[in-house]
Amino acid sequence: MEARELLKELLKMPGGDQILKCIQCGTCTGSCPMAPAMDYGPRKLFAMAKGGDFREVFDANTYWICASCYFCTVRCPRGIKITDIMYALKRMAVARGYAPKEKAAYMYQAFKDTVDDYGRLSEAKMMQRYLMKAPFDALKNASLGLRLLAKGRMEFKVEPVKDVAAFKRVLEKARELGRTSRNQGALGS
Amino acid sequence: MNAVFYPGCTLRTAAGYQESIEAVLEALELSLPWVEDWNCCGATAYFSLDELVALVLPARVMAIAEGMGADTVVTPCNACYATLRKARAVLADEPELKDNVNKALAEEGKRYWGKVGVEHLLDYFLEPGIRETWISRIRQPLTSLSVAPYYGCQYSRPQTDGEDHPERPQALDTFLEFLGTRVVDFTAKTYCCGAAQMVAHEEACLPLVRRILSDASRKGAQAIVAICPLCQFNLEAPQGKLGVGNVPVVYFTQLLGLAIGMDRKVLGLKKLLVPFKVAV
Repeated sequence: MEARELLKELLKMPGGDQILKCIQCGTCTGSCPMAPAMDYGPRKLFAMAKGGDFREVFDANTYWICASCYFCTVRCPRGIKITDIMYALKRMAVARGYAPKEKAAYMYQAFKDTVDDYGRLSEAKMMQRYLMKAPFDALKNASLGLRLLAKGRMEFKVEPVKDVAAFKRVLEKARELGRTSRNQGALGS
Repeated sequence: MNAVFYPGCTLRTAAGYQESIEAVLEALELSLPWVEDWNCCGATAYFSLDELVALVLPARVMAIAEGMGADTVVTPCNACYATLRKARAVLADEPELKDNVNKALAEEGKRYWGKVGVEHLLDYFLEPGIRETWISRIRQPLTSLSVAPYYGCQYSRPQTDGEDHPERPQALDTFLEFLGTRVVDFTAKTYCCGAAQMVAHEEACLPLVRRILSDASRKGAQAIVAICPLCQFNLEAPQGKLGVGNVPVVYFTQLLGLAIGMDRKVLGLKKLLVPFKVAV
């Protein structure tokens, strides 16, 4: 019954129940700038989700490479908050240990680890972390890095929030409370 | 309006955005104090990993602004703008989530009331009362310049509360018309550049950037005007390997500075990767 439980979880999101009204019109996939790079476009992904094919859904790269442009969301004739569902799928995947060998996932993790540490993002530090998991991207970015450096657009010194320890306590409390909230380990992760 | 400024994490490495904002605000004698001890809004990353934390981050910024007595948070970054207003909308609709957010913020003695509004810097400059300060100071209308106004995605999407048209917004067009420029009919004005996916999936994003750049240049634009650090970066960084001609991507505040007669040097124009050589 796992597939049904997962679908129910998705439906719990505000507007999530709209997914049941999907008429498979394909406006979302047709509008999606990242669709050419996706295993399945949003339309097919929702068909699979409604059909209970959650293994396939989570294995697909679709929701990870969504660019959050919200074209799908503003155009969906059923008002389905597609982008928000993509976010939910990412969280559900992570909560279930489906974090795939997907570079976008590494990127988000690198971003999060940096902000968790400082309260603010340092692009340089984030890239350092990201490139540890995706080392082949380093070569691609090397010359850009040098150009930015030459223009004074690289910063290596981070200016954190004043009280990092207190900031971390806030996040820790949020994590603790979030564990019982929707889409996050509600099924025991 | 009692506004405070939320810079966001990418402002300081942006190509002259911070310089031009500060120069212009000073020249116009407009006071926009920064949100004290501001933090990262979390952008797309945190919503992808943990929803409650993703709400706490923008709520913390807004809570600090409220504590400063502000009624509006003004931000120059689309992601910060979208994230803050998304959090504001979600927390207004879901008291239980707002409660949890406040339990977390209480660890730092902070509290989010939900009273502060969120405004993009572009709209701030167009506010009645503010806009007169610079319109009257235009010394050099940029009449010889044709521009393509690039809004990016998250200025007008998602729709949470009275934003501009989701696909054909007008605010930047209007702003640029006030500066005297010729604004081209830019179809790709809210087409996605790939945003953060440029890091992990460059090959999928380059065609998106190419599409935006070629629309701008085919329409005769001599410059693209950006309102967000990541948009500006994604549009200028890959130029040279896309097979379309180079088009400088400048910030709207840099053009504002030029129009009110400020020196190029103080507007950070030399930080652009694709130089803005157009005489104005």
